[in-house]
Amino acid sequence: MGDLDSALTAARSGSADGFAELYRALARPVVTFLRTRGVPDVEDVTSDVFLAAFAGLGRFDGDAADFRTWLFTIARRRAVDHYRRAGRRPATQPLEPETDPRSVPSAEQSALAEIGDQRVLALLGMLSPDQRDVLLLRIVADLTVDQVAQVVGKRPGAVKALQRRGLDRLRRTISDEGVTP
Amino acid sequence: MSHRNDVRGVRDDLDRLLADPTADEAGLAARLRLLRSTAQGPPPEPTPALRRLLEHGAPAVVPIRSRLAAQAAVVERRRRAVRAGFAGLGVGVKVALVAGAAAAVTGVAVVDPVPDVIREPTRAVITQLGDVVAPWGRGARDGTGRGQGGDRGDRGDPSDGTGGSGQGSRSGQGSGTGQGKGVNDIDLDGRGAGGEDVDRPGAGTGADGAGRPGTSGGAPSSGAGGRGADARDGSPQGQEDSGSGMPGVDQPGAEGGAGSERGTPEQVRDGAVPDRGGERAPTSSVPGSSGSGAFLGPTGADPGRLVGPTP
Repeated sequence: MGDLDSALTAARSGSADGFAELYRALARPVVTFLRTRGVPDVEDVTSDVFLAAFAGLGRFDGDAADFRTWLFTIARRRAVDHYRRAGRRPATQPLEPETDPRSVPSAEQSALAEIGDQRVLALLGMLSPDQRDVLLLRIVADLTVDQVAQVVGKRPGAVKALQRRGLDRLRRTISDEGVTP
Repeated sequence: MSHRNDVRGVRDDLDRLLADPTADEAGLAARLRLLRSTAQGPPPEPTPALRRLLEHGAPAVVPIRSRLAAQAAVVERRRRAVRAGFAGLGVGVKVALVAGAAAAVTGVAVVDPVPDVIREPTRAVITQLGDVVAPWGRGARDGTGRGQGGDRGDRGDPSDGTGGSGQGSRSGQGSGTGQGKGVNDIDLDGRGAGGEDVDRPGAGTGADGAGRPGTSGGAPSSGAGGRGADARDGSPQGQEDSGSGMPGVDQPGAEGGAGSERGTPEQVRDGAVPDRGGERAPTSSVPGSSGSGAFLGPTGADPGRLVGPTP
């Protein structure tokens, strides 16, 4: 977090390096979060989220952890806006390996290759929207329970309950499928 | 990696699942790790707007809390400066400042060049304020002065030329009056006009009838009617006003209008008889030819429509 704190300080001073560092560190989690929420044109929406966050730095007061929470609050609102506009339940969008520039540890990637990304995302699609939001923000955005509570506007206890039910649902689903890693 | 603990310092089930999954949880843990891995990697291409920001930066921003604190400090500094400056003034200067402000407000109400749009509301406020401060003086100020005729009809208010009666009769029937009058120094007291004209047909008056309270041209303190009006308006100089000078001729336009009729020099002299008009005017149903709207009926309720008797 120290790097992000210094990047945030630099961004407040108007430094291009500060903005770039924040974007490099946080853009990919935002993309994943938006994509699993079924938002189309994820890259464009991600840029909009960062533009909104950078433009609002004057109103923001906090450290890097707070900035991360704030950034995902903006991202979630954009996703909710899209969801409302679409007027339908958001659909998960499959990952496209050939266009996905991710660089993940090769060992982990090979171990999970047989499972496939689509199945992971399809698994999340079985959760309720609140459960999915909580798990995504905990796993993808790397937020604490309290931070997730701020993002979704619920009490920490409610977030914990949603997380527990979501994990139980996933556990049962995988057990029913009989899939082993 | 989400290795941070919750607020209570207790490792929650998600952290435990990812860190130390049981055999039954191995599949779930692997999928969650895969999901997490998708959040790592290079960022996507930014849009052109964001790219400009990332390449060129932006003006420095100041956190809102710091801005608010700075603004509050500035406001407080200015407030202290004003307080200190005012406190440092002498009593005389303070009085002068207050008096100057009051004079400015009052000036707005009475200075002609100021548009009526501004003058009227200001005047209304001042009048109402005056009523609150000195309610006993209302009759004199607004020129109604109804029933204040008294024996001598000398209730005119020299200060504004509007109030008071000036129409008073000795019998006490004198009524109202003071309906507007004397704009500036055109006339001293048109109120006397009506009464005087009854007695002295054609006696000039030429008052500026329309009630313009608060203007100058105060009436004489007694015998309002006749004397004031005739003494001036009947004079040759008075003819420069709009009056026709025809004795006893009705001039409809005289009602409440700017001084209308003027008497001849002879009538001027007649009109100069003091107090007579003031005595008879209220009892006469035929107002004189005065252009003054000052004459009120016996009850003082209506502004007199001044119609002079035929000679």
